[in-house]
Amino acid sequence: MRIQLYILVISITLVFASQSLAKGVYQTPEEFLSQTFGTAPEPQRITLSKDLGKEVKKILGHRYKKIRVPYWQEGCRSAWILEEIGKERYITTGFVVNGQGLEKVKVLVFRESRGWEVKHDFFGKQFVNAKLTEKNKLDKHIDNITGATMSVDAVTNISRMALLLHDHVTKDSC
Amino acid sequence: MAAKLHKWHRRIGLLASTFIVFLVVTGIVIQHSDELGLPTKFLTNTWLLNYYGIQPNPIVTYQLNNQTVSHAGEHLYLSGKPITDDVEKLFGAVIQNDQIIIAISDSLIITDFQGNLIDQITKLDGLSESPLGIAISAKGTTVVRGGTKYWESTNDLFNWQEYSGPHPQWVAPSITLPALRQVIETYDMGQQISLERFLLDAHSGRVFGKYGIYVIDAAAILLLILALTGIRLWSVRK
Repeated sequence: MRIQLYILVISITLVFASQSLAKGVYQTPEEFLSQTFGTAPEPQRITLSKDLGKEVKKILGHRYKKIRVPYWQEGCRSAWILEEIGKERYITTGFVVNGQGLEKVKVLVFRESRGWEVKHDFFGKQFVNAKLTEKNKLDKHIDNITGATMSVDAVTNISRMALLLHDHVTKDSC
Repeated sequence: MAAKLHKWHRRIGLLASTFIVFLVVTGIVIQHSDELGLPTKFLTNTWLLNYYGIQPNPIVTYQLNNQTVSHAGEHLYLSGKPITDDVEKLFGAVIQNDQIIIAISDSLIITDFQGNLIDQITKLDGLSESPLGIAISAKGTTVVRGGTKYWESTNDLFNWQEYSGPHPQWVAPSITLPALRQVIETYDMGQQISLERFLLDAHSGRVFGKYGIYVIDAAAILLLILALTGIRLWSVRK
């Protein structure tokens, strides 16, 4: 009887622990930017004009939630904080892009109850040095995580958007 | 003995068949929930929503000339049209430079008159404090009420300075007219139970109340008995 009670208590604790692992702010955008640049440069905006908006729509499968997208640029290095729906809610992800492709991918805020495994560094590290192909796909394979397929897809798609926008803002200067 | 067991096996099989069909159908649909987009499709049937005890969230509305900005639950609405979600609280809205500037918990949202989200100004963009109110000053600039100070926008909402001038006329909430209330409540209530949640509740029996779970438990036990009697009959016949 006592063993059964222990098992019950441990099971309930694990369920609640997994829920608390799921949602949360893993890193604030401010921390992400200061970690990236030291002192963050002034934010700039890129407008998703008709053509660029169309390309973004092709990548995401829908329009991006905002027409103007903020970014931070220092030389040929840029940082992007973008949002995309995983299953039901937005996942906020920070991206750093340089001439070699993606430098860093970090899930900052996760609002869903499932699929939080994308927050782990091992997931973000897969993107390092990934670039866009001519068809706006990543030139690297990103492994799926069982039970987090939609979160993986969301972060993968939005990383393609970050690369596309980086190319647009740096095409004349880098 | 075997004849008696066979008779009971058939009876239990007949009784369990209804549950088997129900569990198999709901189970297969749940298995492909993501592909079918069930997490983002919602229950809209009023009777079922009432059965779930879903109540509409309180609505806060601000009048803007001939348009309205409202908030209910986590959604923001422009004249009843949902424009964005994940919004905790609405503190007011003004029109500036042919754009609507909406003050929410941690930022300012900029939309056009069709409700397209143009931009969101946060502390990362220079917003000094989380807004608690919004106004247009006598000079025509946007003024935001922060927790400790009033802040005036000096350039396209990206630069802010402490406001000094006549006390700003903070925009105040207005009445939500019945027609608008109905539109917002219908949408708001229809965003609370996803079809995936409903199917999971049906599959587990929870949708039928606390006894529903026991009914599904009983069905599971019937299936177990069916399997055991089936094995027994097979071994006897052999």
